[in-house]
Amino acid sequence: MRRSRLPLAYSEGFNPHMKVSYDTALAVGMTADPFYMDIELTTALSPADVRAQLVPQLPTGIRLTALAAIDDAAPKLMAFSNYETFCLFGPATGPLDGAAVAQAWEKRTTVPLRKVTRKQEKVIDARPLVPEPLVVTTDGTYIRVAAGILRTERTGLKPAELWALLVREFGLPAREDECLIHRTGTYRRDADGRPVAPLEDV
Amino acid sequence: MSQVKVSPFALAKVQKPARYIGGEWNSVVKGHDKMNVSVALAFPDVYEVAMSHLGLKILYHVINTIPDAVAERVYAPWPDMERLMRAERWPLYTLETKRPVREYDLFGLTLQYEMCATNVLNMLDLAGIPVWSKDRTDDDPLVIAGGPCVYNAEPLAPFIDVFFIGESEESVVEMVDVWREWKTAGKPGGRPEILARMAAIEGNYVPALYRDTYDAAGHFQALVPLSADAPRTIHKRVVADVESLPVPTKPLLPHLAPVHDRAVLELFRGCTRGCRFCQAGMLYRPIREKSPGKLLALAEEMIASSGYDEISLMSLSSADYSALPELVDLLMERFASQRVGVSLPSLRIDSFSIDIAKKVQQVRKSGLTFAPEAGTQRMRDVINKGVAEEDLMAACRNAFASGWNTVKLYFMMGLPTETDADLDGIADLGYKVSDLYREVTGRSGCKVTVSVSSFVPKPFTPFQWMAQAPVEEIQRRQQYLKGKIRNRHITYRYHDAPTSFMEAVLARGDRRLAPVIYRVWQDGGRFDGWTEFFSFERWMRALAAEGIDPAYYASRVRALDEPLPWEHIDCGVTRDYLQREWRRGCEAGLTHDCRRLSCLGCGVCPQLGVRVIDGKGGDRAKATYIYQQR
Repeated sequence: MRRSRLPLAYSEGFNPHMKVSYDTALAVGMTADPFYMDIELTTALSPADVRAQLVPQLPTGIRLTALAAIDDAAPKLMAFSNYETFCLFGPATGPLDGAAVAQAWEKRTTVPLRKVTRKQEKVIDARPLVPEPLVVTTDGTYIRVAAGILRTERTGLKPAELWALLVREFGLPAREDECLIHRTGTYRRDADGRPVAPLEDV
Repeated sequence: MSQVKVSPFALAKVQKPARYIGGEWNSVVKGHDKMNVSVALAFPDVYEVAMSHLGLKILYHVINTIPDAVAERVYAPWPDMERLMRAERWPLYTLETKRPVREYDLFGLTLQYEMCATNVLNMLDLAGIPVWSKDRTDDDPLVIAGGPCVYNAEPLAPFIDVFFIGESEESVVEMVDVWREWKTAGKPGGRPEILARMAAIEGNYVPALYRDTYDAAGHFQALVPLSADAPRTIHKRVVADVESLPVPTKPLLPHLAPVHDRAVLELFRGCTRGCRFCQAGMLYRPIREKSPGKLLALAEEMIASSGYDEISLMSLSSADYSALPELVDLLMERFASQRVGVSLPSLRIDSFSIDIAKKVQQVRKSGLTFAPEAGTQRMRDVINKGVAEEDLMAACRNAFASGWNTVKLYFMMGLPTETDADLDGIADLGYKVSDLYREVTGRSGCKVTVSVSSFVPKPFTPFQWMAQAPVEEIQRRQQYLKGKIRNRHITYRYHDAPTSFMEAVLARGDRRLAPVIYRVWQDGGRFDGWTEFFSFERWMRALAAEGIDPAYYASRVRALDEPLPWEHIDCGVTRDYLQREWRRGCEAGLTHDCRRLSCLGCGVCPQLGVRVIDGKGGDRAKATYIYQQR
């Protein structure tokens, strides 16, 4: 962003920093498409001008796919979103009946998950954090699981934990520790359960 | 051209996989099939350390600027990645195109620290290149090395084909030319021929063309040239005028936070303050400055191509740059609107430096670092560190009054003629600085760090004949000083004495240490410069197995007329000069900086055909001479 020479806004004070807010952070090794970012400028520029300055400075692996001006009063991205969709994939270790795995998950009303940190050990219920049915497929070499996970303030389910649960308890023919995670969307689920993407209403 | 297929599933299991993926902004990818010369440039340490090093980036830039040559990077894989590579049979590969290092024409390493020796062997082995030079064939890359450790290359001599001594910007271009000519002619004469051609490049040392000899008592006697291609003395390469040197103005932006992550502006090369312990001061003379205008132009290119928000003014002693205030003003004025700051990695111990620091550090967010090096004036005079206690106090007074409250003080112990009274002086200085803060600000709360390293007498310094203090004695002194510092505002840190001992063994050793390094590596030695991996027992086992007493190298006083294993290298400074400085040091006599005063006869300028280039000539003597002992 600095290379682009966009008129970036900075905070006040002794240690000014760029006024940028990001989508929920990705764990090491995770990819995302899309990944959202808000940047505040000191001068209004058209999206076309911003695109023209920013795109040539983007590093390998980062593409600008959408750009829109948003209201100053718009909430921060992290505050906006409470739901993320993922594609989890890993090498298959055997034949897969994707529908059976998905149905086994769907039938369960609770799925306890023990989470151990340095400070504490607790058990959360993973099932309600995955409100939509799983889609489990394979091309023979890799297994793919499409899943949406709610993000709450108190309990969290990491996509890698979901994968490990599916391998351990639901017969997913894969290895627990061999999974790549691609985030396919960041949303806010409204009261009806409809996911709204950040730029949908802009 | 083959490519190592690194599985992302496997890579996700190692720490910091970003170390191994390449694709950094400003990295250069060239089609190998159109290239006549390919070089894999290696730094034998982990990514975060390697990406801070400017020297390798300079060579990367120089080689990639040549239309038919390509350079790519490779760094030491962390132990977890090494295990994965060996399990998956992934050979060592370069970051830009994942090409196996084995397929390159040349494999170039920079040797910055003696304790990286086992990493060098490990990288050779991971690359599938025979570790011993004698086992390599025409199909293996030529293994070359540069950096400060090559000034005593002997412990690694049997593993490296060619050492580049001195500044390599020009000699690396000659290397590319020589290789291209030999390769396009069909590699006539094979490996022996290319080694001979490399030996003909000034500043190159080809160990295979020499035999090490020892007298009846087992002391090093000479390196005997084995062919007419081998010069008896190898003179370091030095670039006379640094103003026109190629500079990488498109900094590689690391994926991970390296040790230093900012745009680096090299202000000048060399330092002639003459501190007697300092090898760099002897190896890199004379002083050659770049002009402020040139530096500003370089800074503009670097910032535009990187987006860095900080420029580091780098050199052996940046505060000595003759136009420093003007340069800082130029840079701050030019970059203020872009919110680009300027930083000085080291400060001279005087109030003037604090004024510069105040200018560059608008927020006193980081501490100030000073290097008094010794605790008493007598000891500082022995090492020719021209710093008085009043200078340090004045600098600290200015700093505290300006808002700083954190000071780090660097010292050494184990210096020649040192006594416990000199260690008391270190503690005293720490207390005085801490007390000064209260006096200036009326508050307590200054954080003073006293950091003490163990002195290693290095080749080509006036102290090269002295013995390093034994490990037990260093440890005694460390604990003695610990007992003297009992203040919660003062943190005392000291280096591991056994590591410093091994560093001295390797720095002052000869070729007979090569089998020791090999054994240590085979026994699992890696990242020996890292506390968590260094095993003193492993090194001692290897030394015992080879029948070598390490104290012979580290702890033995060398006779003044004793042949030294590194003296086939000429750094420009004469033995006579070093011995005069050794005598002066023992008497605590001072030697001035020749930069603007009279020549002292060290020999560098007349012997190598260079001169001091200093922006403010002042009283610099026009005549230079070479001091000779009667």
